[in-house]
Amino acid sequence: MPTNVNRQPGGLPAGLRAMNVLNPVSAGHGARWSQDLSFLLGYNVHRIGAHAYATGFASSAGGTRDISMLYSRSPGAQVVVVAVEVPYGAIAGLAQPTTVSLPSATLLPPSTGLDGSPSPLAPTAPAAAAVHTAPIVGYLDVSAVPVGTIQQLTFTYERSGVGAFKSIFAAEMPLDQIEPFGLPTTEVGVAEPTTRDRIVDGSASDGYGMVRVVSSLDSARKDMRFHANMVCRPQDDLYALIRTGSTAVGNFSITENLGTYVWLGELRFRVRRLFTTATPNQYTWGVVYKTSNAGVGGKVRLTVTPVGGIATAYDISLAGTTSWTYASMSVPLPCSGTDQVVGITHSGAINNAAEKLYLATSALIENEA
Amino acid sequence: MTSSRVGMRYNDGSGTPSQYVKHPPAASSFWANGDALDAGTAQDVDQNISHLTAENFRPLVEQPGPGLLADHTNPSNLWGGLADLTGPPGGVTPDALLAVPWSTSRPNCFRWGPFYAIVDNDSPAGWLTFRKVQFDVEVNTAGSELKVYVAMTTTPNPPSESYIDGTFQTMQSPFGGGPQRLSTKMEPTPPAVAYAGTPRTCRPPTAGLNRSLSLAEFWIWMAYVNGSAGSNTMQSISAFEVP
Repeated sequence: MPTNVNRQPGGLPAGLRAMNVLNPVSAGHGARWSQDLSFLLGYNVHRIGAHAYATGFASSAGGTRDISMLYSRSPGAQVVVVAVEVPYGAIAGLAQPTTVSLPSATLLPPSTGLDGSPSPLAPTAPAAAAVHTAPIVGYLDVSAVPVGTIQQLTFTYERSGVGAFKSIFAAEMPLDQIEPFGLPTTEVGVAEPTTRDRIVDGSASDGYGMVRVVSSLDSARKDMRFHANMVCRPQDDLYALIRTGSTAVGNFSITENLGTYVWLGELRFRVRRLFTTATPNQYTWGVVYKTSNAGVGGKVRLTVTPVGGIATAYDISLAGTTSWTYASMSVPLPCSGTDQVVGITHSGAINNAAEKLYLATSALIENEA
Repeated sequence: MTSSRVGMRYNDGSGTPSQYVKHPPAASSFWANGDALDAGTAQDVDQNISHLTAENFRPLVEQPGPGLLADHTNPSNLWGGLADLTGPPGGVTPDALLAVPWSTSRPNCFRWGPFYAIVDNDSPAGWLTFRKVQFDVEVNTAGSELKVYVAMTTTPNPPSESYIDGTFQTMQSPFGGGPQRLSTKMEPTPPAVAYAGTPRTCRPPTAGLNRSLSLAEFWIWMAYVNGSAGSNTMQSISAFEVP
């Protein structure tokens, strides 16, 4: 029988002092564990990325323009909601084909495009005088996407020579129900015991019992991964982040419609504190990059600073390649900063000052063992 | 955690941070040996679940830029050309919420979403509401002052139509303020049950299980008014849930 997924923690009264040493443990605690684990695994799934741009990206010689996020599926997620917004402008009234792709995932019917249209989507650009452009939403079936494998979720704009994407967004969808009893290998959570049931031992193949509670607890700790897609830029020689003119590690330059600037910014978010304050949270840092010369590599640097603390730098050495390429390394994020907040800055280097390093995507995805 | 929904943890109220307690892996015979569950082990499991719940605050927005800021020294740059919208009459100081057109057609307005809400934050009035969101921008104001407006809404429609009480905030960088971080906390106050849910698809067809659910959602908005021509920049935007 399906179990409804809790939308908040704490479905039943809880208290450690109710579990007295030498006294039997009430099965009511098992019901509360089941409900809170259904919240953690089925409802508290994660946002993948959210970027809004000052304007769409102006004309390009290319026929399509791709922007990628990095994504590692949570075990409970069955659907990823994606949303894009296209800007107004000279393209008013024209169809603007748009697709979203992820290996092993498909757009769900009735929406084979992002607004219910057949794929590739052809939303009509808003009038130039429009005040608001509506986001276009679609749903990706990710049930066949491997859990815990980092993949590229790519938004593709197919029209050449006109602006693309005012914003992109992706998030895992919470579940309404789970069925761990009948479908223990594909569903998350624990079949809820009634208050008159004993909590049984169970086994690895059961959707109930203590073994399932503990495996679900471990999964909630290490498989529910925070995603911080920090850089999501077009895979395009003009609009990706660029490092050039020096072989030293330094700041990237960014071009948007309002001009080119040197990116000095620090991005911030709150890190989970799982163990002691001195124990960092483990992340994978992934980038999508290319170089202007296949024979010239470089490096990209992530500088991690807990708020109020000391900075640490991490470098990925990049081989020269003229194709957009994924590279990664492990990075610990400290939870010792004020309010557990960490600051992240990016910099890079190219091994020949006459060449260029392009960075289109940079993401931190939690990777606890 | 400012939620009464989170269970107890070992160090609650002690001043010492709580933490996850390591336990034997699920595959260990410790868990399936036929013995009655002892209270100490049950307490470990219980407080670990509570700890994971208490720590699960999500990152929402982290992105570069937008770099050089649009020039609003002439109000027509802010309001001109937008259907059905006009700026405040000359000489009138606008209400902060109406100081910008909140038009995503403009480079000074940004909207992120749809985020689904987790409604487990205790409001001062005693009901559960949306989680608090910290909003940070890094700016460099070499020229005139810069005002940044942020808000959360429950629909894609702009804050000037409706926003979640407690979330509309104004940040201001003074003239020639140089590099600085502007930070504010959006603290929703209304009961989230007051907002109609949005139906969303949550799984492919699966026998016997609901394919959709109705979610309380929110959108994050930011807009700025830049009183300088060509010199002020914004280097980064971050938003994340906080206790």
